[in-house]
Amino acid sequence: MTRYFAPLIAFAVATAFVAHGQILPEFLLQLRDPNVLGGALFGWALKSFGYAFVLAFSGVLAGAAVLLAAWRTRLRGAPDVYAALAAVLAALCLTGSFGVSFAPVGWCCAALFALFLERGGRFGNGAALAVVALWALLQGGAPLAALVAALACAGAWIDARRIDDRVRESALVAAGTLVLGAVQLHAAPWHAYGAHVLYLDALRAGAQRDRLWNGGLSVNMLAFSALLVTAGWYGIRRRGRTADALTVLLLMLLSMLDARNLGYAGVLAAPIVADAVASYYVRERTLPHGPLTAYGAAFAACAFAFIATIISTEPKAVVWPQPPQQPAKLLVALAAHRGHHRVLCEQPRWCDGAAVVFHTIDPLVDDRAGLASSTALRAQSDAVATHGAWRSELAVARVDAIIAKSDANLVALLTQTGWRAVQSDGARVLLLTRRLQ
Amino acid sequence: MRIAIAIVAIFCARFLMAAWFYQGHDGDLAWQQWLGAYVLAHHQLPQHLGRETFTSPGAPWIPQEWAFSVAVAWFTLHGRFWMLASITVIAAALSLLLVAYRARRRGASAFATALVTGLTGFAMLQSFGVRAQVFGWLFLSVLLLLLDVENESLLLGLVAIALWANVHASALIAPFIVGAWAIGTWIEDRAWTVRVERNMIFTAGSAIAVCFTPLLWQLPLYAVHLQTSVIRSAIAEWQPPDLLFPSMIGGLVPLIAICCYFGIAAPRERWRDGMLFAAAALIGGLAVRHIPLAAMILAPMAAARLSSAIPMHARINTILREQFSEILIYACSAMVCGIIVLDLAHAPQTAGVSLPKNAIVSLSGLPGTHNLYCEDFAWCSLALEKANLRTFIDGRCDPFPARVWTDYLTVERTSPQWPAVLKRWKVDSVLVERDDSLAQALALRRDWHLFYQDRRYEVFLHQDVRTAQR
Repeated sequence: MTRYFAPLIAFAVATAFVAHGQILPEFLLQLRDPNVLGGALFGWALKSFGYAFVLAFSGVLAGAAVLLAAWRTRLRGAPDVYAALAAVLAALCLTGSFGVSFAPVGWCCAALFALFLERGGRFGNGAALAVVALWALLQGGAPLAALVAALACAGAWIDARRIDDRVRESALVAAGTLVLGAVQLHAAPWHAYGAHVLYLDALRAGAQRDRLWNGGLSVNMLAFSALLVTAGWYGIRRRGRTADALTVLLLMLLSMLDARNLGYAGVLAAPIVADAVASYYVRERTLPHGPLTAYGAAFAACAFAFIATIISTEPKAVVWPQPPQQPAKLLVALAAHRGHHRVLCEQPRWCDGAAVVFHTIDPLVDDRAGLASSTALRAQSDAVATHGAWRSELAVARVDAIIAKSDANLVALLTQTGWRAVQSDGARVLLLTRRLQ
Repeated sequence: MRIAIAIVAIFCARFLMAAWFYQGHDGDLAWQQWLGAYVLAHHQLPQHLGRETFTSPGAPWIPQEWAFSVAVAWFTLHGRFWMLASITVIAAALSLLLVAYRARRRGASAFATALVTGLTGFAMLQSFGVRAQVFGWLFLSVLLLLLDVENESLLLGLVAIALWANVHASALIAPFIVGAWAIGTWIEDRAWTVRVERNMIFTAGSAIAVCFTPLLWQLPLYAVHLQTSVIRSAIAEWQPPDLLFPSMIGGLVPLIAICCYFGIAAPRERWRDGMLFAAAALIGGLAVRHIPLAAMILAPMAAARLSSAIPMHARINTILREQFSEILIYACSAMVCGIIVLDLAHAPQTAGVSLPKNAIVSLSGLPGTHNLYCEDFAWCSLALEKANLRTFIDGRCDPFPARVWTDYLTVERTSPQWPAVLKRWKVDSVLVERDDSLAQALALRRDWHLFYQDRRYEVFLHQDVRTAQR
């Protein structure tokens, strides 16, 4: 009975994902990312099969990531019930990031990479590198794979206290991961791009960050607490693998830096934590029976049925829906004004994809803070805080339009000095300089 | 333990410098002094806000920090604030020493004890001040020690909790901690044993002990109400923590990492510790002010588990036990203490900060009664003792109704409706920090003019005040 818990959880995740049914603002940026092919692939899927397919496919990818996390736990010799625990923990961590973006591709690749990395050997290492190559091409999250591989190498070295064959093997995999991850970086500064993939660029002043703790009870906070408390209760070094502990601690740190990394933490750390729980209660470890292809075929059959059900029940739409958080009405109003506009969004994510949709709009800063200039970030940060020489910084940056919350101090101060609120969507207003009115 | 003492001495030096100059940093001391003086004069607690505020006179008030306020008033009125500052530093130092002692009681090695003491010290740095909650840290340490000892003296904890409740409302955390501990013992014993029964009684007793204040049952009600209060968004200490805070990255996060690495509950069948770990991990993520509490709970557990990896006989612990090492560490500690004192005594962020006392004095020198709005509500606490100044909101903050808070935040955030809010409440004077958004907005208004300005603060008066003066 317990062996079906993890698949049930995985398809519950896929269903919840589809029920969420929206696209995340960052997806609009990812679609036109010159570094990765995922945009072209998703665009083709939209034109050929419609939005419902993309949504259902993303849901299946999220479910597959959960199932792979459970499978990895099972391959460590933990019984089915602990695989189900890993699935629950992973699913909880993914829940806060539900929505169409490239993240499900990344979760799936991360889970597969970790699975093959742990398997080791010629096949395991080769498959891990192949997954990294695919990951780098599709979604661009390969820097995380390089970090995990480097930690696996460091962990093997610490455990062996000398450079043996296993350490050499993991060092080769880490080097290969690093090289394959770098292949994608042809159209953007690699350091900035790598930082954006792990959302480290969100730490820059003026950038937008998703914080794990926001003062209330959020899904992200509960998921992280569940992972943390389980890990702290049983201890992640129980299997005596330093690499496990290093990986979990790194992922927890990344999640605390930006909550968007929590999905990766769930997929990669949940099997380790569930395995630690199993090692306390279970004396004899058993590996799963049966061929992997049979399990894979069963999952694929379910996935096809799932996608088919979603497609057949949803009308076919071949345009991307507007992310609900975006101030679409205000951006349309701004585009209606003649000329080229430099716009500052109080929350940079509001401006995600604005330049793609409206060619006359140029956001000062969007979600990719790692790629923004320090001058633009300073102007953004100072203007939102109305701090320092923010007015002259706005003038230097040639900002002629601002989208901000209606009750923001920026709105009150600008409307006193010639700027006008020309459009509102209820919560936010579009402010224009006098010369545009 | 000796190494831990050397580390505590370093933190004491840092705490001492913060406490010494604290009067210039925190406006809350002003209202606490005012409240303490009231209690000393009338021998009773005020139940309502008075005419010192123009927005909420008559609003019911639960002065939960009354005992600390009496201490502030007594020491300040006798010109001995330095003594209160020293006592606060001693309370923080004792809390740290108790953390080290609890770690040693659990068999932690010298290195592990010293490390977790240092990490707890870092966790305390951000929240330390001459504040009631620092005494709460000490009471929590005593309570945790009694739980660790777990004998008949456990019931002394009820006295500690009752005292704690009179000093600070953070005592309301005690029943939850004791309850988590009691459930842990229940899981460990898997039966209703004498120990479980005693811990359950202690849990019930601690829930009653928090009502042993002049405020009786109103204190728990107040604490429950505070969890959903609008004022939390305006108080820095109630904001959620962030990894980049020094007290998190340098204090609580390393402790949590050690606990996660080794495991707290399962490896040694310490379900009591597991329950406390879960409680600490949860509360540590709720608010900045909980970081030291979580660190004090976790530190001894982390030390005990760390010692299993770096045992007593390990080389580093052997070295730390040598007399020469101890002398060296004490010498280094003394040197660091000296550097901290000399450096912070002249540092602008410690000694150079001052509250807007001169601005308040200048405003109170004007004829007539004035309705004052302070950009930081704590500054208005300085106006409580001025007979001709009425405050919009002051540092007492809790009793002010939600609609007053909403209006306060509208002006503080310079939302577009801010002039209307000031007009509706008939505010005629506004105290702001120079160059802040509200100061910029007031400077652009014709109906407001600059009355007072110093290096940091400005006071704007409404045109009606100027007209009246003419």
